[in-house]
Amino acid sequence: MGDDTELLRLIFAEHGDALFAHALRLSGGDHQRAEDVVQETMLRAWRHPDALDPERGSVRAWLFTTARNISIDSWRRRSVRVAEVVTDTPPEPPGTDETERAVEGWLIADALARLSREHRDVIVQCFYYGRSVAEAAALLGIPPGTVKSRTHYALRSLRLVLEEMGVTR
Amino acid sequence: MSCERCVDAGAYVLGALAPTERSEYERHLAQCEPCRDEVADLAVLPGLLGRLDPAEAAAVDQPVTAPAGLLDRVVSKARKEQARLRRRRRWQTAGAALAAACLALVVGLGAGRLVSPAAPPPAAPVVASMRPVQPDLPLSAVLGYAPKGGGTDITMVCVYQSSGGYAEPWQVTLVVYPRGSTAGQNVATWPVTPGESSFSAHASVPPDRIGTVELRRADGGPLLTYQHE
Repeated sequence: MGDDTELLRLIFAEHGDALFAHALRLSGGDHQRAEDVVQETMLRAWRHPDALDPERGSVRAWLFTTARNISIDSWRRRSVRVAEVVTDTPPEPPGTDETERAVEGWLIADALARLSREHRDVIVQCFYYGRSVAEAAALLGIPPGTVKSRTHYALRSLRLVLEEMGVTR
Repeated sequence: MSCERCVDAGAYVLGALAPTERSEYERHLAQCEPCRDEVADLAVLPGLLGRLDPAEAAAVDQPVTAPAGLLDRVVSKARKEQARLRRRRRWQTAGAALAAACLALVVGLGAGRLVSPAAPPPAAPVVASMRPVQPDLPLSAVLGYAPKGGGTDITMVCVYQSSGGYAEPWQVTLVVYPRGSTAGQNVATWPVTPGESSFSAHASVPPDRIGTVELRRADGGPLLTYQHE
């Protein structure tokens, strides 16, 4: 058959791993859901190949955004279903707040994924593991002054990434 | 950064400065506007970082490989969808071909009437697609009819799309409801097999008295309907 499934192979070769990692974050580590999200994202790309025109912007950005929308939609559907199961009263309209809260964690993970390894390391140590500059320096094997400046530049890049992602202004 | 201590702002907002260094930097902040600006600029970040728990943050660095077989599953889904689209496209083309075939048959009938010199000029034959009564019906038909001997000759060209589960022949009954009547006349019953087939029948109702023509499953409900306007 006239194989426009070739497009799927190309997308997968170039973006498959990153898209799956993104989908995993979106689905809180649930592999099955992440696979479903990747599958639906790629099918949408295949149905609308013109949306992937590099002239119109980054292919990866399109894939990530599409995956995110699919994920939010299915999250909302699930939350409505859950409401139907646990109560006899009509389900509340899907809570935007809940969705936003669920969404922000992986947005941050996505942003961190875009930083360099060095930048991510100091943020993980100093913020997530609550280590002091001195402790982080010993752990990473770099001088405390470097931990400080690295932390600073890491946060500046993070700020920029979040702006690009539209999370902050 | 117009103050060399601005680099401390990052560790400060993350709470990574040792207590003495922290209070010392806070005293400096009171004096230094560039450092205050820097801190203000980064102050939003700890709150945002806090949306993610430490395990998830650390997991960002674990290399992720898309599962083997995922691509194959996507490709096979795409192929199925492609095949479905092609069938539908063929289907739409078939509709146009059906109308032409049916018109030829009906005009054929009408022309037959012209052989008799006593006959009045034939009424224009009616050719129309029948409307499905249920969704996803694998059957479509075009109906044509023309007057014949006080009644109506009805021609029908059907396409029965055979795909999984629907390949059995269907017994279908053509029912004509005279205008304003709910009592239908069963005109004929045919087996419809996969592919294209055409049928002709004669109804005693004259064309201008026909209200609705229905194709029903012989053992069930209506499939396709045509309503004369």
